[in-house]
Amino acid sequence: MSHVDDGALHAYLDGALDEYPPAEAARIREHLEGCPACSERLEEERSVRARAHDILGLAAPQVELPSFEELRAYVERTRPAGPAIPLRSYRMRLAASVVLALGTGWLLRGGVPGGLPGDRTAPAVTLESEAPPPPALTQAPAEDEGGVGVVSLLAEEDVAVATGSGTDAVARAASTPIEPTFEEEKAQEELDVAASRRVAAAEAVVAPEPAMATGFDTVTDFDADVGVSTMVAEAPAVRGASADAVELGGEPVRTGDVADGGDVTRADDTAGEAQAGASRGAVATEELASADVTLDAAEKSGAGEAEPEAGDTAGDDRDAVVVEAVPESAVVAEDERPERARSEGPPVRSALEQSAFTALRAPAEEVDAPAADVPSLSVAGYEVVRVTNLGEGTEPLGTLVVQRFEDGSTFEVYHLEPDVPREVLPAPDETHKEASVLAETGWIVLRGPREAAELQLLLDALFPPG
Amino acid sequence: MSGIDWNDLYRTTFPELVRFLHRKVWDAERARDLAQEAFVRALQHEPRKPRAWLFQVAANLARDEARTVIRRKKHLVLLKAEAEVMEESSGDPSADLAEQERWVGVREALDTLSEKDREALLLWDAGQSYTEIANQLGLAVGAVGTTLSRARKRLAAAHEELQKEKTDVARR
Repeated sequence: MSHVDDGALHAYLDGALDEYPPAEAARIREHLEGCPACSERLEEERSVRARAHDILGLAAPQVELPSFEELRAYVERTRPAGPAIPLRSYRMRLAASVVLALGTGWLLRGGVPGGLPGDRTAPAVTLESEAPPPPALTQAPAEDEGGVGVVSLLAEEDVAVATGSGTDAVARAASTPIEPTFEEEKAQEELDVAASRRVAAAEAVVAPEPAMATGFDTVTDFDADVGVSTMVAEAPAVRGASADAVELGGEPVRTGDVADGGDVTRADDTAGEAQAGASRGAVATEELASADVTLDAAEKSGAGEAEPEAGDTAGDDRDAVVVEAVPESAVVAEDERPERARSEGPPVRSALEQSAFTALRAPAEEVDAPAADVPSLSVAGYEVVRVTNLGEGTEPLGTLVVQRFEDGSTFEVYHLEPDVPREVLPAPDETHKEASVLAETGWIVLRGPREAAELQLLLDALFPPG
Repeated sequence: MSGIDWNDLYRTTFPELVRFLHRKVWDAERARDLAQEAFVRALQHEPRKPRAWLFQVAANLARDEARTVIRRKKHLVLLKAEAEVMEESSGDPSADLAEQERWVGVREALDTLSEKDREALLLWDAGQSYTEIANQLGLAVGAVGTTLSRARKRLAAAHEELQKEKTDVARR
């Protein structure tokens, strides 16, 4: 009979064998009674368990129990008229980006009248920043139009382009509500019956562990040499598509097709497909200025790719989203920025607020309100060399922006996704130092061949003056 | 209210929830606030499995709390706040300092764990069953023991190592 493993020993010590299948629990108990070696290990594990318990006990807070009656009365007073959908606004912005990316991909892939596959009709998209995500994004994971999947969240309101497939991943990225949904609760009940089954509800609530060993996969590249200004000027319908108006948060975005790929740098072709004659679409944003950026949606190979056009062997049809890189100050309008946490000192609570009950803030609204800083994508005043999405497949890790100093050397700004630990980044070059901060949007790490203090100043410049 | 004795649930679960949250936000008052907030939401939504629901919501609240914090800024604030706490404390300053040091030691040791191991350990310490932990973390029940075993060993080793380092530094 094989020995029991450490996990079973801890389950035994925790009194959790009753939660195991009865036969397995009986086997473990029987073995422990007759195996001196495992009995000895059991005592060692008991010691480890006690030690861990003692350590955690060192940081046990004193808990005063506030009055439940007051709590309940508060809930009754503030009970909302209808069910709330607590989603943070930045999630809405992410959802909006996804919708825009999807819509853009759809448009450019042939959703325009007379366009390519499927003769799909691309509707004008209007996104309200506070509107819930479209059901199709959150509830229809099986429906993949073969178009753009997930998601390059460049900045709050940037046009995002992504590749890959799987709208379920889109849904997961776009919506991580505080509270489990009814379906998630139900799924959890199912888990009680078959606990070994991993259920999507749990995934949706518990932040997935980042893939630590994941390499960085360039999904979106950008080429600063493209003449975007010209393209913007010529943006309206070259291929006969109407310039559909896409509104995002009140910012009009004009879409239209730009001519053949001759004056557009080709995207890297990770699948080794033929690159000649790529026709591209373009989205030009209005009211943007300065440094031009072209984002080429370099479609990766693999499942979920856009279906190749029948008979088109000479070229691939790619989507290019052309965005004029927004000056940092323009990424989010100043008046839309939430006030930053200030360093003058901690917020002062009134005596009333100090009381256990009144410390309750408006339960849903405040927690779900946008908070703190939203960094700019790049440091103002320095040339942007390229923008690269970090991540593999449908698991975006973040965005890398490479910028150039006056002397020609470059520095890197990594914007990691909220749940991604900074440890996923490779070790910096020996000649590079770094500065980092955990922002609302996740870790931001800035690396370059400068002293840390100078890099820190550059990092500070990513944030609006507070 | 769906047959749930909320008063009893509150009495038994609130301290565990605060304990759980405290190891995430490292601020006793904030942990209490978040625990109350989780209960407010539970009372509003009346979930069918309120205990597991509460811990899920608490974990999400704590996660969102962490996201909203700009650590660099907060460190400045915290340093200032800790100084003020020290000044305002009517108790024994050396005891306050010792408590802070204990918290820091535990926190640093916990930070060496993987997210899943840490979460499992904190949920267990907050009174969750293997089944509840399994549900919350998307694990098989049989894997919870293995996760806890690994987490406890790592915590104990890291804490010992960190304490040793601090002792060595103090001696210099």
